[in-house]
Amino acid sequence: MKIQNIWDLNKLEEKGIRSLAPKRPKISIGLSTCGVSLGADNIFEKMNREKEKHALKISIGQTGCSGFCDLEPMAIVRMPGKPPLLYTQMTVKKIKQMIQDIKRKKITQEGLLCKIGDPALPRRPDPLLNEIPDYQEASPFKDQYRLLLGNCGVIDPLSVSEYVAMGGYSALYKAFYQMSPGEVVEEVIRSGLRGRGGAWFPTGIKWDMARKTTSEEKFVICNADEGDPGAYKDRTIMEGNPFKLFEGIVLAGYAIGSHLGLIYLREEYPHTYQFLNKAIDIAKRYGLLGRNVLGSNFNFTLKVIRGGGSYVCGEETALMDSLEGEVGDPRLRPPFPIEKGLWEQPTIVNNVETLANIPLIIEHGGEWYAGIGTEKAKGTKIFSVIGQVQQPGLYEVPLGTNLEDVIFKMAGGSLNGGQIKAVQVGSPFGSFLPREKLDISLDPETLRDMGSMIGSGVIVVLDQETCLVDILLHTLSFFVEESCGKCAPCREGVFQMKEIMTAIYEGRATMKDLTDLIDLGEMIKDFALCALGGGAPLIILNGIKDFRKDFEAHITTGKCSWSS
Amino acid sequence: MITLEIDGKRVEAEKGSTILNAAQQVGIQIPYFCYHKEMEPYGGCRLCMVEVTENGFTRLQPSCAYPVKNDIIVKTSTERLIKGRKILAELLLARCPNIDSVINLADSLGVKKTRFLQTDSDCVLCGLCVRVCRNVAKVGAIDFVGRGRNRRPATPFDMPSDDCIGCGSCAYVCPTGAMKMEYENVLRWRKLPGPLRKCRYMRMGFISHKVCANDFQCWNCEVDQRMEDLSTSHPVFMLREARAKERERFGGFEMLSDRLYDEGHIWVKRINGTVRIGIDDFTRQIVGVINDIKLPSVNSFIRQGDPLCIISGNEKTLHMYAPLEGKIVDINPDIIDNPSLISMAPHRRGWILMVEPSDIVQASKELLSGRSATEWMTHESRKFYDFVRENTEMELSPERPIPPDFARTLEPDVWNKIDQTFFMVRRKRRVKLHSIGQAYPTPKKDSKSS
Amino acid sequence: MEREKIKKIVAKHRHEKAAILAILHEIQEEDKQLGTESLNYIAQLLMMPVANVYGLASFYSAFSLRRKGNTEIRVCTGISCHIKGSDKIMGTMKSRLNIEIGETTWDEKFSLEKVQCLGLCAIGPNASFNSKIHAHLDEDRILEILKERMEDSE
Repeated sequence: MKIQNIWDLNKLEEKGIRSLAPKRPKISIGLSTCGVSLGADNIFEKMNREKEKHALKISIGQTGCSGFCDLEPMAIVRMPGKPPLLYTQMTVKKIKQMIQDIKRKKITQEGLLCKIGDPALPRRPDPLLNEIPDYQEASPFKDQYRLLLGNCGVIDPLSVSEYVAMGGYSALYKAFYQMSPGEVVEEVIRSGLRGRGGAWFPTGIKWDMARKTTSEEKFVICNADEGDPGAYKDRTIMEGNPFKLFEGIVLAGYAIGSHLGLIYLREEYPHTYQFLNKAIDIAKRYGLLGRNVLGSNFNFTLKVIRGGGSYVCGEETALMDSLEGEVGDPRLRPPFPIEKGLWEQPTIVNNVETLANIPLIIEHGGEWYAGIGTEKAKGTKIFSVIGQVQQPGLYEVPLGTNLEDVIFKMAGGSLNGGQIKAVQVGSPFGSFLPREKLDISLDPETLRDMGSMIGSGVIVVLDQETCLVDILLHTLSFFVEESCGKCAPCREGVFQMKEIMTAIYEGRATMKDLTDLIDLGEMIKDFALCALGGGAPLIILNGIKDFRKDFEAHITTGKCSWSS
Repeated sequence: MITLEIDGKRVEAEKGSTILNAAQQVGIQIPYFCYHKEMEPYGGCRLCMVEVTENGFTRLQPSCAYPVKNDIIVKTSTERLIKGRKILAELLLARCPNIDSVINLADSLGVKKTRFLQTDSDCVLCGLCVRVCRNVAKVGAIDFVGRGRNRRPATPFDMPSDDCIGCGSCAYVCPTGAMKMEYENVLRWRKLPGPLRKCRYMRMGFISHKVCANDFQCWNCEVDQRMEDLSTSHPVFMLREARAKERERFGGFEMLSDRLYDEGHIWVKRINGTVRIGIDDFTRQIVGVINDIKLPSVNSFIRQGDPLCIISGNEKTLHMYAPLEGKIVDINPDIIDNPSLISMAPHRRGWILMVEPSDIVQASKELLSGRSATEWMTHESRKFYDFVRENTEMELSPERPIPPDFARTLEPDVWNKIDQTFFMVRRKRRVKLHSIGQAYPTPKKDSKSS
Repeated sequence: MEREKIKKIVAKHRHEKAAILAILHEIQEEDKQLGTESLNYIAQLLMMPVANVYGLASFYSAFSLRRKGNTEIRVCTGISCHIKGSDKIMGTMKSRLNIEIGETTWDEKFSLEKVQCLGLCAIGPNASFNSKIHAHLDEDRILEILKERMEDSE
């Protein structure tokens, strides 16, 4: 069925509501990469078999990941007349018990996390339900502002109708039938949205420049080469709500006048690759991609291209080289991609998270969006809090939220109740902040002023037990392995830094080596060709400043007191 | 001319040149390793970094690549730059401690020894050899292998390359002497029978035919000496001018040198026994954004002059006719989904279908290529602009692209005239031949009639 | 790999040079390696220099010029897994399979690699066995999985 007009869209919305508030009980299992690796595929299969064997009057569906992988496999139970209930850490046994309970119209208590309240859905008052916390009040969702992740793990990611029922595609409809491409760009400029991939360049300005180029051929590239170790926000969006991303990409295409979008997906996400291709096929069937999108005269093709396993290819110019079938070496600029990008044509490269923000901006207006966040950084940002922390996961908060609040209030502080030693914001480039520097606002400007960067929003928490020299050496090894080898400062310099760090770690170094490290670091920061090379020495330079004790301990005693 | 300031001097430079060029003009020396004045900048060695102040912001930029702009302030030897270059020299020295050019460069920057872990390599990875082979000679016999520290220029599988033409440009540009001509290829050529012993200038494409009579001892060869005298550097750089014209405009319409053209405004490209077919820039500009296409099905057989596709855009439709006979083996799936792609890039991603021709040799003979193609397009362009002047009130010129809504503004009868004059070439012929009793003309006879 | 199969894969990608990564991916998946013969033939079909194809195959970590094992074990060494002890997992695998990172066992059943991050940082340490990812690993658990795999392959 192709969606041609507003009535088709309304019909689809009704269908989505029926599927979100079904007449017969429905259990949805989280089937994204994390769920599957914790056995959700097994549960899903067993349930289907059970259903067939006993001819159960239960439908079985799937959802994506909500960003808290350790709570997977999750299940959402939708019983008629009751709000959806979210269960965590399911097993086959628990699910069997749940099916028994559903038959008896009882609410299973084991593993129940919260209810996903929606006042629009019809329901009878139920005293039992009052005791179950609401989605917004239950940890770990508490205090978050889940604009992008709200539907992830709640709706069926491959169901267009459920996405439409959650307000999807109204932005695209509005853009096609009520706005000119220039107005779309203006709205994005007004919103103050900035690129979420790490460079924080104003998206609207990039689009405006691309729109004003006269070339017939323009490209929209969605950068899904989520290479930063510790980041998985893009995967969660792609697997939890792919149509939102598609809507954002089509909007970008409409705004700049491009008919071809490419998603460059990292090689390490094979599951996501299959999943996105499936989603694109579905979107084509509904007429949301391809010829005459949403019944307009706008055509748009979207493709997923797999990378080859190289971190540099996340850098936009190297990414374009890779898309052209070349070795992923960063290019010199100027010329910038908006002048001469892919195949020498104007190209915009945007991160998954950036593009997923676009439908919200178009739907609710740039001014609404600009009301969230700080003066210079608007909107929400997904932070991936990992390491030695109670509740690791994705936390979506407005920019400018206090870092301590995120770590202690939301993520529950350090894992074993120990002292926090250091926190790295913007891994792998951002520097490690000591405990006393954590009372800061999370926005690009604050971190830049501290000599660090916010990057793509990975927050690594380390407790007192960890040896910082070891962590820094590990990160440097990552940079050395992933250097493309084009420019000398990164290829030779970071390698030599790693050699010195190894000597320090093994206790072979002298204090003079520290000055060598600083000299090298300062040079690489200035001289390297791309952001990977130029960013690599930051952690060392700031590490020496803030954690000199660790370095000195290693140099003088050959180890630090806390590492065994 | 552009005026900028370098180290306090006001310098005039040509538009499009780089800071390095401008600095060299006034005698300011900037060190470099990976730059070559006859190649595109690479920006890999980072020795030529300079401080550029533009709109109040000061940044470090590679002078070999950064274009000159009005009123920028360039500093080539600040303390930060000198210190950084010294460390870079130390790093290069650590990589290649026994290479004279590296030692000299380090020496000129005041670096005698290195603090860092030394390895013994003879290559600084400036990439000149790879770039000259690939971008200038257009051979690609060597390329980078591996990444990061393990990167090195190499022939495929480290075996003598079959692609190598023995021009020697890689060894010529190498600043460290790491790249040496492989004599295995030369030895192999020496074993070939007389007529196959092609001179290196024949392999490079300078001369159409010359058999080596000198047992590949180029240093004793008169022809070789004469050719080298002609060129101020390696002769391979003379090729650049001739080869720069991969895509060029003729009468305002883009043409690609690797395509064959049909008079019905269709291009054909040979790919391993099959051909790829698409519409040319002329059609694209006239029709504007294409929003629908009708095609024959895969595996169907078409004859020359049969309808190949019907494209529509700007409320006008246009029939295109098959330039050759054969079986349709593939259709570009992207354009079925999204016909706009054809108008986006008619020569590349917007190709239409692939055909397995019945007689590929004959078919390519009938199509226009090289000089005949460009002359034909220039003629068509003149014809078209004359036509527009006579039949419409629009003012068009080959200097500017045709406006995107050109087709929409035309009256149907004018559009039909365009269709007949420019696109029905193939069909007309068939109709004519058909009328004298030949149902399906063979391609051969068709070509004679032209 | 047979030429016919390569030809089919290249034709599926419509002889586009830009699709070279996808073509190499498919051949790697099927053949577990990118052999000299295959690379030469791909270059011929796509009308590009062999050196270029060889350069690509050696640049990207997803491709291997040597044959990989039937089960490719990739241990995640991302920062989160590193903190949680991925070194130990890697060490266990190395000593149990008696190979180093990047190598394949003599019977071509297993090969061991490291991967920078699998994107499952909350449930580390992780390792993937072909496409199946195992989370929450420790030394005992991964030996158990390996044992199952070994029994399966026999």
